[in-house]
Amino acid sequence: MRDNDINRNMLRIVRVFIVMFVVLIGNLSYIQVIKGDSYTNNPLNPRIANKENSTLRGDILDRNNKKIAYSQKEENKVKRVYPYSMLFANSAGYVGKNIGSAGVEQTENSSLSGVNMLLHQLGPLEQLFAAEKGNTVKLTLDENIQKAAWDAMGNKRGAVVILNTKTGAVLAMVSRPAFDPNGVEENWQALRTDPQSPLLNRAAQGLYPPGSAIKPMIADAALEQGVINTTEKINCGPYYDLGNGQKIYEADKAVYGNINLEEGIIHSSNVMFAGLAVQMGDKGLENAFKRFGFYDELKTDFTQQNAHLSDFAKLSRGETAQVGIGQADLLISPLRMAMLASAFGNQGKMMKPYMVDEILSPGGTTLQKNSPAVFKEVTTQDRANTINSYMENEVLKGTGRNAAVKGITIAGKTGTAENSFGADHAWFIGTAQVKDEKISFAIILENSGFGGAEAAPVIKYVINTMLRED
Amino acid sequence: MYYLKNKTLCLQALLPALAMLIFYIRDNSVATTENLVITTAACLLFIAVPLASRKFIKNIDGYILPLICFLCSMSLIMMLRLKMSLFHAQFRWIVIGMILMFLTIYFSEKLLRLLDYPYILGLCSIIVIGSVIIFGTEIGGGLNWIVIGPFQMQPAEFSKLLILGFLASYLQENQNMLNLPNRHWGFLYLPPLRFFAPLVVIWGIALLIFVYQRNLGFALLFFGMAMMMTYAVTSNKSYIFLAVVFFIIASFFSYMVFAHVRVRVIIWLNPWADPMGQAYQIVQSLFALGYGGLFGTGFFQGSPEIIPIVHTDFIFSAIGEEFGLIGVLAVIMTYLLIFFRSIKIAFSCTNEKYKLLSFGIAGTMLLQSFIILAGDTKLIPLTGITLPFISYGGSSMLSEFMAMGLLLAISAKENYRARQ
Repeated sequence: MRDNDINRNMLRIVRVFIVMFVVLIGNLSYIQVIKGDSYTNNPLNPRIANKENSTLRGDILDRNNKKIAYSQKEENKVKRVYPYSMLFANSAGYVGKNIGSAGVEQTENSSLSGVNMLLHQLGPLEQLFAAEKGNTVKLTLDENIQKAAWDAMGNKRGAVVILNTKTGAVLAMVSRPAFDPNGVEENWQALRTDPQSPLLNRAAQGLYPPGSAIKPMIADAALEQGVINTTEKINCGPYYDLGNGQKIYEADKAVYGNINLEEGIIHSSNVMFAGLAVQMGDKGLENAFKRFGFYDELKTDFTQQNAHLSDFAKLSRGETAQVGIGQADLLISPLRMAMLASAFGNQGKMMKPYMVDEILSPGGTTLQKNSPAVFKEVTTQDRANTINSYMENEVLKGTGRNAAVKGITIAGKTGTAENSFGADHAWFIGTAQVKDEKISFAIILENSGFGGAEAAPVIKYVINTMLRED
Repeated sequence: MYYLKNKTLCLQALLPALAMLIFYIRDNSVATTENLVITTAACLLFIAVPLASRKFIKNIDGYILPLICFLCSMSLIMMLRLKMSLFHAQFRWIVIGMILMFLTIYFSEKLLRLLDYPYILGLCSIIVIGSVIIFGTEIGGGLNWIVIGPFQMQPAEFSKLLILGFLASYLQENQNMLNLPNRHWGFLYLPPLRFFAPLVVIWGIALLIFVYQRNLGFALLFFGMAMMMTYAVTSNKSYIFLAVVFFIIASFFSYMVFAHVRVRVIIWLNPWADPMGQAYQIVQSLFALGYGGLFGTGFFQGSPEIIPIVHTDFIFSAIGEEFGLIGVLAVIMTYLLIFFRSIKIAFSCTNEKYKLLSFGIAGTMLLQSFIILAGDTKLIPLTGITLPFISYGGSSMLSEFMAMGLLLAISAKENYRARQ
């Protein structure tokens, strides 16, 4: 029966085919199901980028609904427009095809792009939920305040951070020099290699020696640890002798005579604070920095740099004294200094800073709203009020006079920080009640001299602008 | 039950209409008279052809044509999605293909009589394949095309049928000789050389020409066809052993001599070495399949146009992206169902030539799908070959329909005989 032979042989071949197709289907399932995610997210796969491009990127708004960034179609090409050019370059950031993104554009990308890979798992049903435009991100920044701070800085390098004292909302975050986010892709090479580092957000990521601006915290620690009380007087000037020939001088080698803690703040006495630091010792200083949250990780909706603190266990007597006046190797960002000032203006409560107020759907429905949160209770209500009143007096009759605005209560502390890059950095931190909003601020102008002379007028200008509003 | 079955087999005809509706929702301007006429015609054609064939051709297999219509409607909607001009052209090829299929069925008596002249079939196939060397034009890196006026055709597609005819009739006529090995070559049992020389010569020449034309897909397909058919007739493992040895030597030789073969193999071994260059196609194919996942992105929601020449070699990846694993499994199952229905025809044949020919047609179609599907999914090195009834292309569509015409004619014949 040869006929059956052929049938038998054909059946064997059919079996081979079945095995081949089982292998094929197995491999296909492996590619589409198990390897699916890894292929989808492979950077060489243009599909997610295409999808993001086909969805119009959402807007970024300031707190008064002014558009900081938006996308528009121009001749089939989608363009990201930043109408305020350099003003929000380091806070709102940029987004580019080949250069990635930074700022809010980066941290809020999943909201702005409108692409949700979880929905992708649903297959074709994704289309039911997919949006044609990304969500709107409404920031806490205020264009008026931001602009005022930018203008007030002039052409100096540095940063201004202004927070709402009660909530922690960031009202202004300026870093100069900046760049134009509209042309960042074209100028990428030049920007990246610019020695002035315009791409660095100095306000949240720049680290500086705090100088005398740290003194309110040292004063609080000294009161807490009982090395001084509010009435005790110390003979100050012209220098603090560390022994073995090292001396810490008052600014301009002034002599203040017997002064109390309040006058020490008002005059920003180096001799007094060097002495207090030495009395508190390494452990006392370390505890103070811990209490004020400098060792705590700050997780918020923008990128920031934690402080660099001294290794307190290894400090010499001279370095301990330097910590008291904000030198040694302390490095702190303007944001953290503004938070420090806010604690004294807010009964000892340091609020967690945040920049994204709301996420809105393209139609305007609120999808997510940030609520203020306490970052840390750093000191008692009494001590906070005491230190704050000292700082108010510094503005009324001390080194912070240049910030004074008639009829406005301002508490401030100047700082003039020595550094290894040239002239001193000028600092001014503090709080102010402007109409119904209490603001906290930190200003640093790099290598520009005395804090009282250079940095304090910046906040005066900002407050005056805020008063002129409406 | 019978009623329900009939209706179910017509459902595939709705696909072009649904696809056009989805397209229309996205873009109103697609609703031109021409497009609407073609869509309507396609829907009617895919209902009418299976029904009419059952009505007018007695004892014809009732499942194969609806399944083919499903593949054709998949092809049409993918062309619609990829490029409107391909949609029009592909519809034209489907219509011509179906006409050709009915003509083949009508003239099947005369055509099948050709099986009595194996050497003529073999010679014709060599001439058809070889004609490309003389008249051929190089398109897309392969010397596979003959251009006559406005038409381009790929003779290799048509030579498939001739080679199948040759194999079926030669093997059947010489099976006694081939089955009675009287020579011991080591552990191999083979008949005298003169009995299987014509087979080796015709098959070897065809293979060499394909390699020379850089048509690796067909080289692989023809190799597989010959192995399959020879085994079906002889079940002599010595042939398989020889073929495998030959395949290894030929592969090694091609790898050393032909740069294009070497490139294919290198890409297959490590596509991630040059994912944006030589391996771009296969890497993007994997991305498409992976992005599609289990359910697919949905019709029109993927980006299959990223893959170069997606409408021929990589049409399967486009289906995988937009219809997901579920969609491609449906396509694969359709091929398997057509294959099993065809094998059933082959089993029921009493005429051994018909048996071998129908088995060859079914096996070739399945093998061809496997070669391109496995290439698209990086299971084997990629060789450019069409996916039967789905890839864009006139030659492929026409030759597949002709093959199916022969198969259906045989089925009608054998069923008729069985009922006598």
